[in-house]
Amino acid sequence: MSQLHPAIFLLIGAALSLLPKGLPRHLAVVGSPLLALVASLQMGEGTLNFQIGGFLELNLYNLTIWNRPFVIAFCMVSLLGMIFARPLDRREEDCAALLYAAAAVGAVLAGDLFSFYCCWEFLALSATVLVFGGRNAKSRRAGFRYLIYHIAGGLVLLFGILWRLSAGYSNEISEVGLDSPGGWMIFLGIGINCAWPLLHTWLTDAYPESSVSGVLFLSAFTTKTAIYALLVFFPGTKELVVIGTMMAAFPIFYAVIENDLRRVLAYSLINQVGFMVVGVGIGTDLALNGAVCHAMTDLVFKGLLFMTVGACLYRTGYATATDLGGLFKMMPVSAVCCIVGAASISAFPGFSGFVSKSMITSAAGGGEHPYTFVWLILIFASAGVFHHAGIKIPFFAFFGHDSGHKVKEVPWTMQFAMIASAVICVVYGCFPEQTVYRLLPLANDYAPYTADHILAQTELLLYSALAFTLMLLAGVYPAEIRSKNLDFDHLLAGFLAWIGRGLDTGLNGLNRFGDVAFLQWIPGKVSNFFGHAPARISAWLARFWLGMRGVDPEEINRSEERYFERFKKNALPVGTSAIYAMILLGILAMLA
Amino acid sequence: MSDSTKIILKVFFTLCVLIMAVDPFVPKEHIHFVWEKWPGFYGTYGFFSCVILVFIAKYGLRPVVMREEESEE
Repeated sequence: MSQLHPAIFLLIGAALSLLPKGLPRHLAVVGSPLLALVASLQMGEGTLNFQIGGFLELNLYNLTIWNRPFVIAFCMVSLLGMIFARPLDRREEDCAALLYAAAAVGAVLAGDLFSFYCCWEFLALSATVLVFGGRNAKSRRAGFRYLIYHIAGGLVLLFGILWRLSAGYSNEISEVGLDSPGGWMIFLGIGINCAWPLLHTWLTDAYPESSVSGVLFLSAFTTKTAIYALLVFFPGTKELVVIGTMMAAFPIFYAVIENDLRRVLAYSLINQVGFMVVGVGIGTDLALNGAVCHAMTDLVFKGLLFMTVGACLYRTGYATATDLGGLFKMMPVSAVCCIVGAASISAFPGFSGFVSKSMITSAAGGGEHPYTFVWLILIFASAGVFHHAGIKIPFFAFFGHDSGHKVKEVPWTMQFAMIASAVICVVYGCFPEQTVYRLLPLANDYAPYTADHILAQTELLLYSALAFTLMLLAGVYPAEIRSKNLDFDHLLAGFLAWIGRGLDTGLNGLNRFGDVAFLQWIPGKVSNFFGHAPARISAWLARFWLGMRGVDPEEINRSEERYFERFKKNALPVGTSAIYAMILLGILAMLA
Repeated sequence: MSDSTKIILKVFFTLCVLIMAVDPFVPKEHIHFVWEKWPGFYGTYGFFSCVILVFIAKYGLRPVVMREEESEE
């Protein structure tokens, strides 16, 4: 047992990833997550404190039952992702990916809110570099949108943390709850990273634009760190059950009609995270264990699915259903690994999803107050996820119509990463007691392999496959169409554009009014007045004087005009000038 | 449709029939709701939820949200 922070290895790896291209660099970036994984398996109790300026104490290492499984799983997927990324050989991306992994490990190991927040922000920054990995205008724009979302989310979180601290709560990582505005803001800040409904669009917008390997890291860290945060800050918060159920249900509709297979996987990522959120919300031992367990299995099988679609993208240049198909004969390893990933996410008996997802559905259905409706939706989502991720991904990528690509299987490093992930999925699925269940935070007596559970799950999946097959044969299944499907961000963009136009009209209107009023009208009037001030003043005085004497108004107007004309031409009689001079002197004499 | 596809389909349909035939004979011990006891509940639920899913997505969602693909720059 040691108190070595695994993120140290990842940070060293990030520094070494900037070495010149070549074998030493490859070894360094693969070796560093490997060492981090070894360190994470050796982690022992203890703390690592820093004093900053004598008043702020940062606790960067605080091992608990909750963060241990996350740290180990994070180190493992960074190792797999780094191996997969070798053929791309991009220095900036390797560096960003390792920093990103270090931030994720740092966030879950943090022992105080400030350290947690700093790592949280670093997640957003390093992930943005990965989104830019698509290296085109689309990914650049998506990257900036990603950054804006997460900086905003981070600020909401920071605001919540500061609110709580100023209200006298401790700086420790502990249950927050929704009893204060600060708690709500922390809740919302985490919710943005967790891709809650309506806050989710950054995910499906950005992830599919990143590089073949960048998406592996993206799909792993941000949402799972958010799940960890919900586990420690908001366990058993009932609002999460509603939010998670919505997350599990709505993305599958989008996934069915989406053409970009990586975007299909992004929607199914939200769907899987939804299961975890429901688990956290239910808050029983079984549910919380289920959320942690599902996070661990999801990290591997979702990575595996992104790898196999990435393999197609790497070889053919396409990740869209319309441009792929029939690659099975050319890329058999990728195809088989894809099927294993699909079986795992669909929770087929013998694969990893089966042992984790069912913990959450059982927790929803069991207990004294079963969540009947939630349970029905989760079962619906289980069938749906098989439909769109389990069948659609392998079918449209590797089977279906022949796309005519003549390609080779991917390089051996990519194959190695895929095979290793696939093996992990099967090992998790077949031997949960010896693997994932050992890392669970709470005592666990859940037995996934009972006759009725195996039968129920197999029947559910076989008949949703039957529905897919029959609809495909009957031509009912929605054809793949090159298209873009609008999501909530379209409405949001419209709303922001509306606000923008409102501000444009309002503020620029004010600006124009100010310009007309204060720069044109008033100065014009003033300068006009003072240009002939003596004439005007005397004309007014004369008018007042004549009016008092009862002179005809017509006559007054005429004589005023005459007088004014003469004044302007400096053609006043000498006598009038003399009177003015006298008045002026008199005033001066009185003032003196 | 190729011969191998036909074979796969035949095997698949046979499996579907088999599992429905086995269903009533498996003891349902770890259930939460009464309807889980009904023979074929999971199959029926899975089948119809997928049909409904596809119909809503195809006829409800797609007409609303689908747009021309953005051109690559």
